[in-house]
Amino acid sequence: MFEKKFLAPLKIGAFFCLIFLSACSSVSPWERGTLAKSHMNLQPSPLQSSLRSHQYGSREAASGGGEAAGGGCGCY
Amino acid sequence: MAVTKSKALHLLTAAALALPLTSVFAGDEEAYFQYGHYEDGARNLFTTQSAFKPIQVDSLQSGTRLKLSDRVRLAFNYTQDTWSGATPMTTAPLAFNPNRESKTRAKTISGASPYLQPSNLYVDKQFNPLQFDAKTKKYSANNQLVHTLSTASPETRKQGDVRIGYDWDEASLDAGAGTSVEPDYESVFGNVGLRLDFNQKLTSLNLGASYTASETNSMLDHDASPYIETSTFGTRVQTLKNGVKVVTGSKEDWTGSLGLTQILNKSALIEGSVSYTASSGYMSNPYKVVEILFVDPTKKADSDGKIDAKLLPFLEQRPEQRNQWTENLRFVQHIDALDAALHLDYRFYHDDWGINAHTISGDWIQPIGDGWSLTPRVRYYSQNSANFYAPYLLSKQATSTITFDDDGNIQRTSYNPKLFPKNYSSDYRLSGYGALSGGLTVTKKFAKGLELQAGAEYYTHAGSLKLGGGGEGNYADFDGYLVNAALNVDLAALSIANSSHSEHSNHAHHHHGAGAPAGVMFDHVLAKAGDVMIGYRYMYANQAGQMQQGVNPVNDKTLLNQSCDPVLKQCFVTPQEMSMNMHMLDLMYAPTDWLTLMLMPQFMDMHMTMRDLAGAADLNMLTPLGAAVIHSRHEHTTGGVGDTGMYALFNVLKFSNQQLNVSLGISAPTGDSAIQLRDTHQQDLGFIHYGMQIGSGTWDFKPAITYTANIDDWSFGAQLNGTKRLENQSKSGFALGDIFQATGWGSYSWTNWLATSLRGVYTLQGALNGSYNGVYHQIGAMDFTNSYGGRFVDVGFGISASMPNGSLQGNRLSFEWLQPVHDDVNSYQLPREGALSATWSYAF
Repeated sequence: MFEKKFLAPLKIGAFFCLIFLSACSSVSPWERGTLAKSHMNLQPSPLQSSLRSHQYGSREAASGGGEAAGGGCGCY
Repeated sequence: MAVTKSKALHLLTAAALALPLTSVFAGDEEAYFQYGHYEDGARNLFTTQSAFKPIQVDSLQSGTRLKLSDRVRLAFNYTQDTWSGATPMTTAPLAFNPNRESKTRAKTISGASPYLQPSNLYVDKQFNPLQFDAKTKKYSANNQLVHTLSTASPETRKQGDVRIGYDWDEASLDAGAGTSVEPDYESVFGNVGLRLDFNQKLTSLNLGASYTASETNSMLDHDASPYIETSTFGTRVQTLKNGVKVVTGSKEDWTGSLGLTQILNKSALIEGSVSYTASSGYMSNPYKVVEILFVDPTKKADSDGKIDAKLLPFLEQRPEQRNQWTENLRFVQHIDALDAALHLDYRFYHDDWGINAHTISGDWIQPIGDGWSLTPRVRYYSQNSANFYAPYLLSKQATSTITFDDDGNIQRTSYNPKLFPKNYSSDYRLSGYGALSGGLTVTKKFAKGLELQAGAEYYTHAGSLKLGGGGEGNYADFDGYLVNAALNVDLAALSIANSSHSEHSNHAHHHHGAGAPAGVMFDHVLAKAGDVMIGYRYMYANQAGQMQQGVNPVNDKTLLNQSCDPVLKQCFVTPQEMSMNMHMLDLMYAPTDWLTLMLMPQFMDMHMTMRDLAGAADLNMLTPLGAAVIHSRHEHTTGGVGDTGMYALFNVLKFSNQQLNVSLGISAPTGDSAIQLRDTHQQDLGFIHYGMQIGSGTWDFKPAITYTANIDDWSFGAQLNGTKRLENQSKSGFALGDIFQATGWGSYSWTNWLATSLRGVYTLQGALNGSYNGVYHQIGAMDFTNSYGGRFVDVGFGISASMPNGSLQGNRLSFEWLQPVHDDVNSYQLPREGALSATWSYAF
């Protein structure tokens, strides 16, 4: 059971690595104009996202899982 | 030609390589402000409904990110949430009628407190709850469940954190720490993050670790706690001298995370991450209980097949360990034909409470020209239930057994808690269900680095939406919506825009001199059409000390016998401390050279403590007045959106060093002026004390006339302003008094960036008009409308700093402390201790 718990994330991590290794091509710095657009950011609206995750966190069991950034009890 | 091209390419390459991948797109220096509102829809109680509004949460976030040097970053964030309303406390069979109906309003629950121990309960031989049908006079099995609701008076949480970062060419290190405080829960947290770039910044590795320590210290509901079984909780639940039960517990969380970001091609990137959190300690929700249905196996069914049953509520008991794993995958693809970006996120969550959850979301960010963009969004979430979740529990034993000892004395033996499961919770958030949400966000980017955003999301939670079926029954279904409005200022972009107009800004700086002290508004207009100014104002004011009548301090005996009106004869309590925090956004825009428009949304919170007056009569807590007095022993808080000011400012006279401005404004009653306390001791406490309402409740006219002059390093100013209520009463029956204020100041610039000011203020404010048009209880001077307003004199000491150069050029930060020197209050009031104003503004 203990092994299974730890192996599952490792397997998924290995899966990600495979995707990364197989899918990427070399992109020269001067070809990164599109990637530099604000709506291509991995986190395009961090402020709105933080409000949403606080909301989801007070309504769903699978809250957190990210870095600790406070959040209080949500005891309602 | 070839040389030029290669040089340009070289520069672009160097610029692109200098950008770290993960923070490549966000502005390096920014200030932001966000308001959010979440509201649940009404819960389905089947045979009845709640007279109370479902839970709603108002959130405010503000913060700034700055660069201390080329490589050192500093960030501050502040968050505040205020919530109130009805929310499920537990679940029980509908057949047992667990929501108490009002005696006066049919089909409505009037009491805010839950009804946890309904009586005359029966089950059949298969332990199905039996429902009585009044028409047929027969009992039949009914397994339908229903939530029992509980309502909370307003509560506020405040959180602040600071973060510092250092950038290398291909790495960065961040460390942050903060604290979150609410009346019943406090936490402190710290985190570190390391980013390493490889492969010409095509790949980034992110490592993170964080720690949170939390303390719960919550008082159980006055009305519910006598019915809640706490004997099995040991020292976790303590009973204070006044009979209040308090639940205490502490919790620790450790998190580690690992992420990899990869540029796939010139229009797509992907991020994969895993994180693990170990939590230990008290993780139950102190406001949730589990109903245990006791059926005595020695009892036989009667002729109708009924067996007596009893329902007892227990505080929920979650495990004290939780290990959580999360795997996240994010993919971003640019759609060249539409210049859109598609964001797809998938998350798998797993913990050792037996919960597996899948989350998938998609955002389509579509720029539509002129700085506008639209983002539709869909999200789906599904979880299975925790292995200790049950809507309610069945325990096949009697709640108590009576036996006789050898001497014939009665021996009462209580239920055996060892027969219960080790852990149990009926919190619907630990049940199996799915949630679907969808929303739309509109964003407008202005050329000068200002971004405004508004979004709305509708959220629906249903057992039937669970992946693979088998979710919780429809009694737990609910919906809700979340709206937000945000303002973001890219300070670096502003300073770039500003440096191209440096001649203008220098001129403006010279012309405005040191500027008015932080507590003064409406002192300047924008110079020309198209100009924009953004500001943030914060104000804190408090009252404490010995109560006054007019200018004279009074003792408890006087307050007891005279501060409540002659009809009531005596007071019971007196205010001890009252404070107010107010956050205001200052948005100014000049549509023409001669007119400046200003919009000022406000967000505020209030805090008040009271104490019993020496010699006050003891009241029965089961009378409305007695319940109100007991409730006053807890601190009271309110908060939320305040009134919204809309102003037109004109420059009527202008000489080389002097100007006269007129401001005409209206304040819209967007703040709540009908806040009520929740019921306690089965008594309706009605409206909260007048001074705790956060809005005026009326449309108000707010004119001001301001004169300012600058002579060398000195500047002077004087202002008359007023507030005239345009209505005689708000919807709750009263109106605040009108206000007249006169102020004059002088300030001196010591250097080109630092100035200090001295100010005098006279304020005249009328008492309240009208009175509450619903239930309220007058227990102290603050509940009488004549104990508001007065004549006040203050002296203000201010300091102001403006950044003359560097990347923050044009920012101005000022503070002012207003020290009361004369309080002549109407009737009986607490003296003022002072007020702090802080403002940040940026004109561009």
